[in-house]
Amino acid sequence: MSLMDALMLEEPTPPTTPTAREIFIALRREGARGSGTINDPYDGSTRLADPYHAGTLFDASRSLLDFAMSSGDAREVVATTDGDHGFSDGDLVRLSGDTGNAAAIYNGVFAIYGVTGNTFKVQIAVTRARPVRPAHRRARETPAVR
Amino acid sequence: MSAIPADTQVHLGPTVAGNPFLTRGHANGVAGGWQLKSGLMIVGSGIDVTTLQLVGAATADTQYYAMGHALKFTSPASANLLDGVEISDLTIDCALHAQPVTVGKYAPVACGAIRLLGSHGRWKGLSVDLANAFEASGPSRRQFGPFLDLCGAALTFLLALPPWSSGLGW
Repeated sequence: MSLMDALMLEEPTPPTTPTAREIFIALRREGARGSGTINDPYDGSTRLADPYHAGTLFDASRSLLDFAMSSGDAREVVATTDGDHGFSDGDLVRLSGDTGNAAAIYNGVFAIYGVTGNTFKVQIAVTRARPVRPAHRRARETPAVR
Repeated sequence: MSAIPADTQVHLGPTVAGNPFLTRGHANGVAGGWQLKSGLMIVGSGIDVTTLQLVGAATADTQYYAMGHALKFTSPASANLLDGVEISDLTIDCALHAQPVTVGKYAPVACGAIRLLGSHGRWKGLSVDLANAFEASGPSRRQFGPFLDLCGAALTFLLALPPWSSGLGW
């Protein structure tokens, strides 16, 4: 066997160190911490405190496009809780349960500021709604930019 | 994430709307968060299926990254090169609106997606929500860095950007 043939038969060397281990992380609802395996993934969900019911001062009839075209103070939303919430400036809160026209921008995780006893402010994201595309089309478009 | 060793493949499961994986990411000179390591492979379940959101960017006039690392060691002074990092099949939400507002009405920080210096890095099936990355007021506007800060050899890019990100110079 020639030297060239011997080199061609040689197994290619992996460019990087082989992966030593695998860890699986998922959002788990039952509160289990998990062990990191595929059948028992680590819980990667956010640890939440007790929820508060809160109302916000905004015009529910406004559409998402209205918010997208607004600026300045229109992005600031004041939430009023039923009682003292105990939050501090900079705490992260998850707003959920809004089902109106602007639910896409109100439901999410926000850092709060301007905290008083039973109110806090959040800065909403003024972005266009993410277009919904069929899964098969999304997969085909994935390597669109190289 | 900070406890995960190098050369580890991390699989992230699906998330639901309004309930993404949250990360404090990395910023120079800021304690907390986590850093990328050599050989770390972060694999989501797909674009818009797994979403990672940057949170807790509280130090003013600082560039944060959802995934990043220090570019150099201080003692001895040398470059901190990471090899074989792979990030794929997920959406990164830089989420400026979710950062603490410490000055004025906007979070005075810059929020990026990935910062990596090294070789044999690979990115595919990656979507970055830029709409929430480039926005701030005050001194931080002068410090805006790129949303993707990648440098090294043998890097592979298969990047899908959302349609509203066009025109930002990428």
